[in-house]
Order: sequence, then structure tokens, then C-alpha cells
Amino acid sequence: MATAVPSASTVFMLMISGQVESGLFPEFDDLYLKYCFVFGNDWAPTAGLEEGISQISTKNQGSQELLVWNFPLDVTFKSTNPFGWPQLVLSVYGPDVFGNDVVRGYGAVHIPITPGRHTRTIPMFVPESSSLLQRLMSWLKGRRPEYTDLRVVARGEGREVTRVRSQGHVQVCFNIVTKDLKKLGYETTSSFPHMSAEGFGSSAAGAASLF
Amino acid sequence: MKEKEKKLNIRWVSLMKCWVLTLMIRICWFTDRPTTQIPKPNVYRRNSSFFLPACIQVTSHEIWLDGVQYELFFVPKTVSTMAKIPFNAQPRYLEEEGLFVGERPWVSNKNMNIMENRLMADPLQGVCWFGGDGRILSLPNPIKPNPTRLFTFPCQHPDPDDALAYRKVVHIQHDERDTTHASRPCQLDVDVHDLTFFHHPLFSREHMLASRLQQLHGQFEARQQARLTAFLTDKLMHFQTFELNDKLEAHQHVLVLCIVTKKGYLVGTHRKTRMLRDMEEQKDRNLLKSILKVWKEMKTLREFQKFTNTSLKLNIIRKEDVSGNREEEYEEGIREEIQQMHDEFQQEYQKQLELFHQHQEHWKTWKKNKVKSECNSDCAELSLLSCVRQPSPEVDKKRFHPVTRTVRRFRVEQQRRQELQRHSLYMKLLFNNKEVSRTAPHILDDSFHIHFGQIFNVQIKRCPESIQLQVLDITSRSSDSLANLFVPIPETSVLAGTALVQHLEFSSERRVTFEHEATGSNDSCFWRCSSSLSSSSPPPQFSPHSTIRPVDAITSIGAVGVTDTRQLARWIKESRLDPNDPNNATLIQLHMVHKDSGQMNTAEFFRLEQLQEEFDFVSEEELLCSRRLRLLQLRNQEQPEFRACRLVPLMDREIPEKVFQDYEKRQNEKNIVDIKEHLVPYRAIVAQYMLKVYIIHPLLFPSTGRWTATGQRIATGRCTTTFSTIVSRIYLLVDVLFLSLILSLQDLVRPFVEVSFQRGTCRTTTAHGPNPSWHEELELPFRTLNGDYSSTNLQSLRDEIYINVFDELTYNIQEGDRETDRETHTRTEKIWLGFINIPFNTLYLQSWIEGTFKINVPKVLLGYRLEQEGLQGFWELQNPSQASYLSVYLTTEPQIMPGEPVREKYESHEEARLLFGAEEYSQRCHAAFPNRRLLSTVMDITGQAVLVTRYLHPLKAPSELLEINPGHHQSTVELLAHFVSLIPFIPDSVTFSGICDLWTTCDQFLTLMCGDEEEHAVLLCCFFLALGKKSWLLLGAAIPEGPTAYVLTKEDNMSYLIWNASSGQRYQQFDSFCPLQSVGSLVGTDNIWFNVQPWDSPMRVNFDVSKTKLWKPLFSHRFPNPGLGSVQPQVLSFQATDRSTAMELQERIEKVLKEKVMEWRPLQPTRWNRHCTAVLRRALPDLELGLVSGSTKPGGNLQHILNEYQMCGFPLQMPFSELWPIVERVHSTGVHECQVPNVEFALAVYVHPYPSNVMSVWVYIASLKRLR
Repeated sequence: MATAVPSASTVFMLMISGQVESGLFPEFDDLYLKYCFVFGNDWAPTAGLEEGISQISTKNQGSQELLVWNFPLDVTFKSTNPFGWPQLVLSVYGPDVFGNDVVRGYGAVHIPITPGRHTRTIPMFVPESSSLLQRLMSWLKGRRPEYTDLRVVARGEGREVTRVRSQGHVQVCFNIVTKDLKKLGYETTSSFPHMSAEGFGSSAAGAASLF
Repeated sequence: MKEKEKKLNIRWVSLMKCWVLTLMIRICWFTDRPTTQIPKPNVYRRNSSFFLPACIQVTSHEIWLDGVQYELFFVPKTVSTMAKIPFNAQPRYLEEEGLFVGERPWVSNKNMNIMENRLMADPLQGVCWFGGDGRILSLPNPIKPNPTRLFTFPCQHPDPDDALAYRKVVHIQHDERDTTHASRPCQLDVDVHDLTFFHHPLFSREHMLASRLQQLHGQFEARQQARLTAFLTDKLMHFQTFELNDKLEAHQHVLVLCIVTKKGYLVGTHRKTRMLRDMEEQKDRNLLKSILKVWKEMKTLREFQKFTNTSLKLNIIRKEDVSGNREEEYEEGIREEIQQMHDEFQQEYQKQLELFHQHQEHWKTWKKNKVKSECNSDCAELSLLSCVRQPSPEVDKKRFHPVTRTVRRFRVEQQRRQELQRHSLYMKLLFNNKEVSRTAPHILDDSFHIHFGQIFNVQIKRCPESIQLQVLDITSRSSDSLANLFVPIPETSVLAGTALVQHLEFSSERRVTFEHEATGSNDSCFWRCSSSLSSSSPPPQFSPHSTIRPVDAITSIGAVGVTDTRQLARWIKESRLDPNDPNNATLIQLHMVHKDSGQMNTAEFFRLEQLQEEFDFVSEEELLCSRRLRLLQLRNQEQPEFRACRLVPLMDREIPEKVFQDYEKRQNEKNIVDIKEHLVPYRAIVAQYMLKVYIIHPLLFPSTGRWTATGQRIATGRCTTTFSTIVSRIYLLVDVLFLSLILSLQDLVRPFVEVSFQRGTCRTTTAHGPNPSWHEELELPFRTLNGDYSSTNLQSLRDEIYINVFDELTYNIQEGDRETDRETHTRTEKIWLGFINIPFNTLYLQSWIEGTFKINVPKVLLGYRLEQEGLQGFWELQNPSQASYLSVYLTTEPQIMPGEPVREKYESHEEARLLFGAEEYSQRCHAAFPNRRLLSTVMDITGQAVLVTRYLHPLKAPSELLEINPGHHQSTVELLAHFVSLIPFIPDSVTFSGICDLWTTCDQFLTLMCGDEEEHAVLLCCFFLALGKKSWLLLGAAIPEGPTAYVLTKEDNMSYLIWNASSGQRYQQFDSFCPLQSVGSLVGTDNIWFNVQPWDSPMRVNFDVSKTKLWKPLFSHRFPNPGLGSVQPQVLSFQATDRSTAMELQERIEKVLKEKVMEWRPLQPTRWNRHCTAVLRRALPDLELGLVSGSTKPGGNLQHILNEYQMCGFPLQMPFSELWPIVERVHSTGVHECQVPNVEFALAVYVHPYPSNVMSVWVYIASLKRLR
């Protein structure tokens, strides 16, 4: 099946450009982030990078507590099925007291489905140790619980065994351009002018229920 | 009227001269008049002769006038119907045929005539304007009978700004219930009136009876009200009077004929009515009886328990008949009935009499009949007497029975009452599932009746989706909801004034049992309660906006409050609705439905999952037909063909039909054994079985996320590959380090290494000499089926990595010596020297392999000799087995991490003490040396944990093998090892998917004909034990297998031998090239020993297990072996393999291989040298025999061929499992790549059968070049 490349008319394209603007992690400093896109079987990246690591960002000493990354995202997908719409998965890392590199937050958000400029605030969370002793041990050893597979953040399965704590926010802005989506019969804009498709992205944030 | 006419006529006379005008008036007058008088158009249409009498009335003046006018003017006359319809056709009146024809718009007859005449003037096209009934075609009259005008609300505060604001038109897919734009909020009143329990867990027995009594009384009252019995009695009376009249009439009139038929019908209905009446009376009677019975029970109960809980009392009033003597009436009734029956029988008798007259010979029958009829009349009387026509007492019920207040003496009852007092109830009103209000809590008293009497006013903006009442029970401890009642949403036209109180019943299925007197609630009875509720709807302006289509027939005509459906039915009948009018369709349908069911009842059924179809994504057929949806479904089911299918095309047409072919084939052939593919039917069946094991197995171990104890890393799901899905390509990296060859040609060997994997090849540069060092990195692309890199797929890959060592030969093919100094033409050829094969699976599970491997060199390598003399001194010590070695490092790029092994605990039949001991032992050992392999319990094929020692048991090897070399102990042992190694090796992770390791017993192993290292080692160890050898199962780590099982034997000269059972190789303990790298533990028949020495390399390990300081045993003095039995069978039965099967197999393999070689050489012709093939075929059995008997005898018969040809070939030996590994092996040797123009090939196959279908396959392949 994989060999049959559909002709141009029967795929739709989703172009994402934007940036991971800033993060708010009140207790931590010197953080960097990794991003990756998680998408379904019917999606394929055609251009751009779908994974990346940002620079380490340090807080301003003054009043503003924001960590600014301004890390650009630029990727184009093609797809034949909106099922498995791409999700942006972010993970933030930084040093702990002993200088070990530990995870400071995971978060995921669906790419907005409507063309245009969108800004999303992604609530972040980290997995927790299951007991107090383990927490102490992990703090001492610098080996915090973390996900071996980042896709867990974007998916529901297997999460029932974990417990998480909410920790910070990251702000991302997207500029979305779609091609042929409407031609193939998929409506992403509502016919009701008062109901925009705002709800899609923000409700999909993995940790929204934690707050 | 006459006067009026006259007046007009007089006027005409005066206007005689201008007769033209008069004429006009006259026509108008006549045509106008009938229309004003006759309201129904169809009347005048039918009686078109209606005008005639009026025309006859013309006065004498007009007669001459007519005469003149007809001569002078053309007056359009009615065109005859026949002229207007096509020739030879009969007029059709659709209306009479029952089709719906709308009302035609009225057109004056004169205009009609004019029009018709004009149309008929065209002889060709004229007819098409007329319908089948000969009238001009027309649409139904669009004009409504009553004028309507849109109602506009007077604007209270006209705001100029508002008026000017531009608002874009929005097309709303109208939400039927959305009334957000309604200007004013509406009010919904919910009147929660009272709550009565028919059953409650706190009911005493008396309460139960009381509620039963009440229910029965309710039924009784309902029946009384319905007066069905009285109605039927009346009907009967009428029948009787009618019959009386009939008789009179029959006497008076002569028209008996019609009456006779009528009478027959009447008699039938009469009888039926009587039966019905009797039945109803019986029912009444029974009801009354049961009421009395319950009441009697209640009275006895009250007496028995000496207190009363309920205030219920039944008064039975015997009413004296007002109309007079009832008894007499009753007697009269009976008499009448008997009379009737008598009449009926008389009639029958008459009939029979007639028959008798007709057929004289049946006179006896007649007589009997007569007698019978008399008997019957007696019976009738009897039956009537048993019937219920007795004066019925009337029941009345009043609630004035004193309730006993103090029940101190009765403890249980007291408890019940105390419990009851603790309970109080309140109702919650939920509007669209949101709580709106609640009533005050009411304490439940002994009457189990709560009067709420509370009206909730809810201001609403939109039509409610649900109105719900929740009954909550609060006790001192908790409050819980008893039931949820959904209140039907009132119709929009039901107003506060007109709303009726509705009874809602509910039940709860909770079970309650009490210690005390209360009855509790169990399965048989459930709570029921009736709550009265009146709901009143919003004000009427609610409706103008609603665009609800008529869902309910009754609502659609606006008759919302209609409760008496019978009246409605009557109305439908009386109003004579046009059944063909589409507007009435719903009503008519309703009527029809009820007519069928006999009565106009409200629907007693409901649709399960209504609107389900509407909510379905697509219809079932569409789901099956659409290729795209099917593909998506199959992918979701993780069918192997589609699991890795990416970018499923959006359009059906882009998916080729053949996508499903493989899948369908597999589905169809699930149970068909494909013999062709497997050559031996038996193997085919086994392969089929393995396939099933593979499919079922993953179900045994559901994927769950786990915490691993050590690293605190969270692994979720089964797929724990670390690389992301975006990996597009994976490479196999092979680092070829160095080679040590002990072969040499006459002149220098120029070896190079070629790695072939999945038909891709990559080679090193050519080196010089027998011990070259390359340190070259080779990169091979790695593909999987459909690009699926999930761990389940990778695990079950069966591709093998072949590392081949070749010798490069360069020929000078210059013809003559003319231009030797200027040009050289050389041909390079490669000669295969040996190979190493590593299953990809092994690499996957270990993620990298590094080590020095023994090269499998063919037994006969023509033109090469062993470098015996070079091996002296140090080398002899180092390399006792005299073989060539290659050092390589293999890995993948990017690295693939296998899933973490599952360490689950399984069920076991072992004793708990043993299991516990074994677990403790292995934990302690693991803590001391985590890298050394130890297995105390393993999983057998049924998923049960079994102690590993149970697998070792002396088993006698097949006698055929033992008899070959009766005297030579050593060669027998080697033969057994060879036999075991011939059983195909398939890793467990391939056969039993998932990373768990299943151990099969030896008989299962021989049945399945495949297994991994453990099975081979166990079988070999069992054979050795039977031979009386001291042998153990050695668990450790080796290259390239990783964790594995070997067999350790103690020889007579106190040395130890290490056997690789799956390859049949044996190694000395001090062989530095032994693939075994680490010794973990030893398993004997009765104990397990764990290596606690500081070293684990086999060379440095002391194998004396009696020393507990070096070997930690599982069973010791403190924990003795309880004498474990073996899971192995006592005797292995080996069936002799048929020689003819082997022959057949041999031929087929040869045929396939020859075809393949030709297929691999598409450009050059492939010639087969028959003579050489025959020689080779003869040589092969000797080779096998040589292996068997232990003596090596190179093929000397080839000498005369070698004189003629330059021959390059070698025999290959391998176990037989399937065809493709053989093909792959032959391909990897590269013999077919010979490009010399006149090359010939020889290929011989020999299959040597061993017991139990074990086969040794020999392939001798050679390329021949004629010597000049």
C-alpha cells in the first residue's frame, strides 16, 4: 500500500509555521525544550523538521518571569484522512539542584484545524513518583520519573498507571495554511459565524483536566 | 324567483333591438346562477345536464332570438369529452379510481368552453392540453379557504438606531427546539403533587396487603367506570328487541330474502356479544373475589399481630335494587337466554330437517341430531346457572380504621417504625440535567403517602430537553436517590389551565433487607410509586417560532389535549377525511393502525434505539462496499497485511482491488493446508499450527503499562521502541574486523567478506593473505514489510544475515600474447570459502553483536587445502578445533531497542513451598550476579510455571541412530548432536510472539519440529543422560545468540565438553573461540547450581558442582529435593521416515533450485552439466555418511571431472524446515554469479532421512569451466 502514492488531487496539505514563544515555570530556570509532532498513520511530513531542540533559556533577573525561546516551527504535512490530526508534543528539561538534567514538563496540543493565526497556552505536567520514598530517592539520584516514549503525552493509552503534577505553561503560536481540505469535503470552518473552531485546540491539551 | 325572471324578461323585451347585449347578459346570468347555488364543484361537473332544465324555461322571445343568433355568431359550445381525449381511448376518472385529485380552481363554464374550443382548433397539439378525463389539465386550487395574515407585534419602543443596524442574513440549519430568539422567556410550571408508594422496603406485611387491596380496588373502580358489562348487556337487550321487531316485520313483509341474510349476521354477533358479556362478568366477579380475599387476609393479619399499621378499611355495601325485583329480572334473563338458545337449536333443527328431506337415507342422523339438540339445551341452562349473573355487591372503601399507636410489646414492629421515622423524602427538579429546585423534605409516615403540593415555576428560554424528577431518601446517615423520573415534556399548547395531572410510576431495583419486621425488597418485588404531576407549558407565543414538523399525528392536527382516542377515531370516521390527501396521511395512518388493533389505544410499543440509523456514520452496505473504509477498518484491527499501511487514499477509486487479495486469500485458506509451499504435508500442518499459536498468543499477555522496579522509567504499552515513528530508513551496520583463515590455495589467498541481508549485498575490499584485517564498516539497508518498525513486527522477522567469505581470483583472459604489454584483460571471480549466518532476530534482541565467529566451511572445498602445518605451538592451543574465524561487529543504525522482557508470574501446579524457595533462590542469585543467567522456573506450553529440573530426564534416542556405530561411543554422541541440530531452529520470539520464553517438552518439540536453543539443548541433554553420560544443561550467554542454553558433558578423561545443541558443534572447555562467553548456571536432573565463582568465562570456571562454594545449589540439606517427577514422557516414540518421501522432497528441491538459479541469471543461458550432476549426486550420500560415521572422505570420484573442467563448487548441508532458507543459502554463495561465457553448472540435492521426519539436506552446487 505504501508504494501507491496518491496523486496530488487527493491529498490535503497542512502547513504549520509558528514558534514556541515562551514558557512560565515559576520555580525553575535554565530550561530548554524539545518538540515533536505526533500524527496518525495517514499523515506524512513533506517538508520541514518534525523534531527539534531549543536553546537553553534563562529568566530575566527583573520582574518578568518569562522564559523566552522563540523557537521556530515550520513543517508541512500531507494527509488523506483527518483522523490522527497532528499534535505538537513539547517537553521541557532543565537542571535540578545537583545539576542533573531532569524533565520539567510535558504538554501536547492539537494543531489548530482552521487556517489563520492561533495562539495556544499549553499547560504542562510532569510524572510523579509513586511514593514518598521513591520521590526522595529520585531527588537524590537525579533520576526523576519520565516517559520513555513521548507519544504517551499525545495519546490516552497507558496513562492510567501514571500520576502527574501540573507545572507551568508554554505559549505557542501557529500560523496555519491548509490546501485542498475543503475540496476533499472536509469542513473546518463553522457555518455559524458566532461559533469559531476555537474549542478544538485548547480542549485537547493533555493536562487541561489537571488544573 | 319566478318574479325576478319575469322582470328581467320584460327588460329584455324592451331592449330587443340591441339584442347583442341581451345575449351577453343571458349567458352570464345562466352560468352565474348555478355556481352560486351549488357549492361543490363535483356536483355540477357530474351532472352536466343540469343546465338543460333551465334552458327549457326560455320564453318565446328567445326562441326566435336563438334562431337568429346561431346563424350570425359563433358561440363556443361544450366540446364532447370523446373529442378531447386521444382517439380510441376511454375517459379515465382518476378520482373514481381512488387517486387523490385536488380541488380544481373554479373557472366559469363559458370561459372553459372558449378555451377548450381554442385549444381544439389545433388538431395536432390540441389533445395534449387535456387530461385523461377530458378536462383541461390543472393544478389543484392553491387558494386557502380562509384568509390569513401574518401577525405582527406592535413595536413598543421603536428605536431608530436599531432599525438602521445592518445585520447579515445568517442561514441557520434550524434547530427545531432553539427558541433563543424568542423575545420573552417562557414559564414552565411543574406541580409536584403527591407521592404514594406501592411498595417500599419498610412496608410491613399489612402494608403490602393494603397496597394490594388498594390496587385491586383501583382496578375495580376503573372497571366500574368503564361499564363494559353494562354496555354489553345493553347491547344484548337491543339485539333482543331487534329480533322481536324482525319477526314482526317478517310476518308483515314479503321481502324475507334480505332479512334472512341480515339475520344470519345478527345471530352471529349476538352470540359473540353474549360470550363477551359473560367473560367480562366473570372478570368482574374474580376481581371482587380477590378483593374480598385480600381483605380477609388483612383482617386475619391484624388480629394475629394485634395491632394495625394501616388505616384501610373495606366497606361492602350490598345495594338494594332500585328498579324492583332483581331476582325476577335475573330469572327473566335466564329464561330469555334459554329461549334464544332454543330458537337457535330450532333453526338448526329446521336446517337439518331440510337436509333430511333432501336425503332420505340420512334419517338416522337427523334423529340423533334432534336428540342431541335437546340435550344441549339442558347443558346451556346448567352453564348459565354457573355463570355469574347474580346481584353484585358494591364495594366502598374508607380510610377510617384506627391505627395502633403504641406497639411497645412488639419489638420488631417498633424497630420498623423507628426506622421509618428516620427516613424522609424530597424531590429534586432537574431541568436539562441541571438541578433547578427541590422540595422540602417530608417525613415518611405509616401511610407511605406524601403530599408535596408544590409548584415550581421555571423561567425558560428554550424548549426543555428533559425534565427530570429525582426522588431522594434522606436518613440520618446518608441521602441517596431512589429513582429518576423523566417527566414528559408538555406540548406547547398545554397551558396551566388546561393541564391534567399525570401519574408517573417509577421503580427502583435496589435490594434492601432488614432485620426487623419490614419486608425489605428483593428481586420479586420492587418499589413503585406514583407521583402526581401537573405540568403547564409556556405561554402560547412559544409556538409561532417552533418549526417542529408533525411528529405525532394527533399533534399535527393541533388536537393536543385529545386523550380520548376513541372520540378521535369517531371524528375521523365522521369527518370523512379524504384518505388520499397527503395532508391527512398521518391521521389516516393512525386510524388504520388502530382499526387493525381493534381499539384506539395509545401506542403500547416503543422503538428501541430510535434514530440509531440516522446517527450511523454510513449504512452497513456502504461500509462493506467502500474500499477505503474497509482498509481503514482492517488496519484498525491490526491485520498483518495492513498494519503498517500509511496514507490510505482518500478516494475509493485510488485503492486498487487487489489490495485485499492477499488478505482474502489468507482468510479463505486459513484452514487449507498448502502442501506445495511446504513440500512435506506433515510440516505444512505444523506450520499451520504455528501460525495459529502466533495469532492467539498475544492475547495471553495483554499489554499493560508497568513500572519497572529499578529505573523508575515508565514504560507504557507494548511498543517501547525509543526511536520515533519518523524514522524513514534503518541501516544494518557490519564492522568487519579481521579474519583468520586456515585454508590456502597454491598461491596467495585474496579473501574478502561480503555481507548479504535481504538480498542486498555489500563487500569489503580484497585483502591479501590468510589473516587479513579490514576494520571496514559495511552499511546495508534494512526494510520491513510495509515499513512497519513496531517491535512486534521486528521480533517476528525471520531474515538472516549472511556473512560470506570469498576468495577473489583474477584470470588473464587475453587471447594470445600480442598486446600483453599494452592491454590486460582480466576476469575476477569469487570463490566461496565459508559463511556465518546470524538471524536478524538475534541481533534485534541484543541490539548489537560483537565477537569472533567460527566460519562454516564446506566439507569439501575443491582446490584448497587445510593449512595443517601452520598450526603449531601457540595456535594449536588456541585453536584446537582447527577452523577459520571471522571477527565482526553488528548493529543497526539508528539503534533499535527491543522491548523489555516480561517478568510476570504465572500460574503453577508446583507446590507453593517449592515456588517460594525457587523464587527466593533466584532473587538472591540475581542480587549477587545480575548478569549471570539463571532460570529456576520456566513456562511450559500451557502457560504454567514449571521447575526447570523437571525437563531433564533420560530419554532414549532413536534406535536407528544408536545402531549405526554400536562400538564407537564418541561417534554415537556426535551423531546424536548432529541429529538434534537438524531440527530446525526458530527463536521463540518468532514462534511465540512476545518476549516470553516457552519451553516445550521433547515430544512436543519433535511434534512441532522447531524450537530454539533451550529445546535443542534439553533434547540433547536427555539423550546424553540416557547414554549414561554425565551431562547438564548449561545456561549462559554466548555469541551471537545472547542468553542461551548449551549442554555440558563430563568426559571420561575428566575434561568437559560444551555442546551447542542447535548447531551440533562441540567445544573443548579451553577452546578460546568457544562462542559461549559466560556460564550462568547448570541444571541437572535433580538440582540447579548457580555459578558463584568470581569468573564466568568457561575457560576459567571450575565445573565441579559438588563444591558449594563455587556452585550454589537450589536444593540443599535445608531445602531438600522432594523428588520431583519429570514433565517429559517416559519414552519418546520416533516414527521412521519414509525413504520415498525423502526422495520426492529431494527431487522437488532440486527442481526448485534449478529454476531459481536460472531465474537469477536472466541475461546468460544456464547450462546444466548432467554428467557432473550425476557424479555429485553420488558423492553426497557419502558426505552424509562421513558425517555420520565420523570419518571424512573427500569426494575422490570427482578427479576425472577435475581433469576436464575447472570446477568451483562445494556441498552445503542444512536442516530442512522450509524451502526458502535453502534457496537463500544457495543464493548467498553466489555461484550463479559466474559470468564466464561457457560456464556450466551442476546442482545435486540429497535428502537424508532421520527418524521423526528430521531431514538433512545436502546441496552440492558447482560451476564448471572447461579447461583449454
